[in-house]
Amino acid sequence: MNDEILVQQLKQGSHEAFDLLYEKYKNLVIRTAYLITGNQPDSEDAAQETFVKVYLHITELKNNAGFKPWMMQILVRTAYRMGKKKSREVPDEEIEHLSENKSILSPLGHVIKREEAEMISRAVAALPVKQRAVVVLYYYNELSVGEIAKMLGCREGTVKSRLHTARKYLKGKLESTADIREDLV
Amino acid sequence: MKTRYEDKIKMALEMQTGNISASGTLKQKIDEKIRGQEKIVSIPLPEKQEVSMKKSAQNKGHFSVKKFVVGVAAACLLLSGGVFAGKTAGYITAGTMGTFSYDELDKAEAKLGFSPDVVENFSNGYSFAEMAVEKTSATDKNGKEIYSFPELYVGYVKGDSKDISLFADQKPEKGEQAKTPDLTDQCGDIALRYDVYTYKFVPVGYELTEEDKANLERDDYEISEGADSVTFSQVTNVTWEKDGTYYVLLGMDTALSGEEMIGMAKEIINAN
Repeated sequence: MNDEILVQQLKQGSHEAFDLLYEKYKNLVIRTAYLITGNQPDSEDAAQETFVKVYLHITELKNNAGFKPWMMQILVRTAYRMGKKKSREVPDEEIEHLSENKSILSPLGHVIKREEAEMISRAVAALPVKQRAVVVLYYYNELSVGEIAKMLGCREGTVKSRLHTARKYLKGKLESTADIREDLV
Repeated sequence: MKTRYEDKIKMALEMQTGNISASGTLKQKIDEKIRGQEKIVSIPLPEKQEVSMKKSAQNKGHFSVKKFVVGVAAACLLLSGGVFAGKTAGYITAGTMGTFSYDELDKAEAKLGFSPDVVENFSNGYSFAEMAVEKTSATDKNGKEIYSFPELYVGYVKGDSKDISLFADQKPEKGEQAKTPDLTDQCGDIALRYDVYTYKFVPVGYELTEEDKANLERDDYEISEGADSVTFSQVTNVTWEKDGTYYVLLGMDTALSGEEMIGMAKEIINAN
């Protein structure tokens, strides 16, 4: 069943429609929240708040087809608010699960890839929340600059500027890691 | 076009979240929070066979009179409009569709989909304080939603006097009310009825006495769970129907007499 039908049913008070929308989007919501807030407890709180707002304010959504971006806007703003309160340092345990990820690379390739991914994750997590949110929405959620601007309630130029600054920082981090690896070899 | 290192960013973020998933309790927490923000009311249905105390864990120790008033209004609308042949056993008011100033009445009407009679001031000194459009849901005896409709709420104040609330909706159900009105009147061809109900508020887990059980058999008595301590309130209301819209003018522990409240209702009807 597509979103438009489910949203219409939810507007008419169907709890089943809400349950189906939750099942469909729960992981996208929790993962995006995790990347923006930087930790699992806050991402759960942000996801919870988002779905509650979705349920209570669904009648305010005029275009049923626009449910996903509307929901993501609620999520991003909620997670953004939570992320602002947090430290930029990411504890090791938050990155630990990367090691559990399976890959078809050779053992050495796997280690290099994993180390690189961990470094990038740390670097993204260390970004100021304004830049981090833009990076997550652009790279992870694959939204356009225009969509991100609308979601965050700012100008496209602001999004581009944050993205540019973040890229520069991340690229620098990536290159310095590559240099270290070469030195070790 | 994204460069190789940008692909790495995406890949890293996907790896980072690959094992992240919603916890098993997340949905439960969401449902509980939603229920906690809904306004629950149980209705003194004439044919009820069992005690219909409110069951809302989220209301424990946080009883909201305002929420209750909104819920009671829905109940009164049910009683005035009637439904008893159908499945509806209660109403919950979940979510505000918008709050408005008096000058924004047209916006509220757009949300409602109809134009109810509303006044800004009454001749007895009560004046407009706030207005909202709420989403109200009819529920079955298991609390499952059957349908929903928009409902107008307008609050009126006068100095230190108890607030008076006006509610209006166009829900689809009609029926008969078993309770004998405490007062009746006419405004042109519109029939007005005035009713008095007694509400006993009790803490969660309250054990009903024999007297409570006997009182619950009355049409004008209800026990509502969720208060900090046992208290009583008298709910008075005037109800009428005009052009397919059901109205309730409602007071809690107000000093206004039935005649005075009917007079206010007539001002609403005659203002438009």
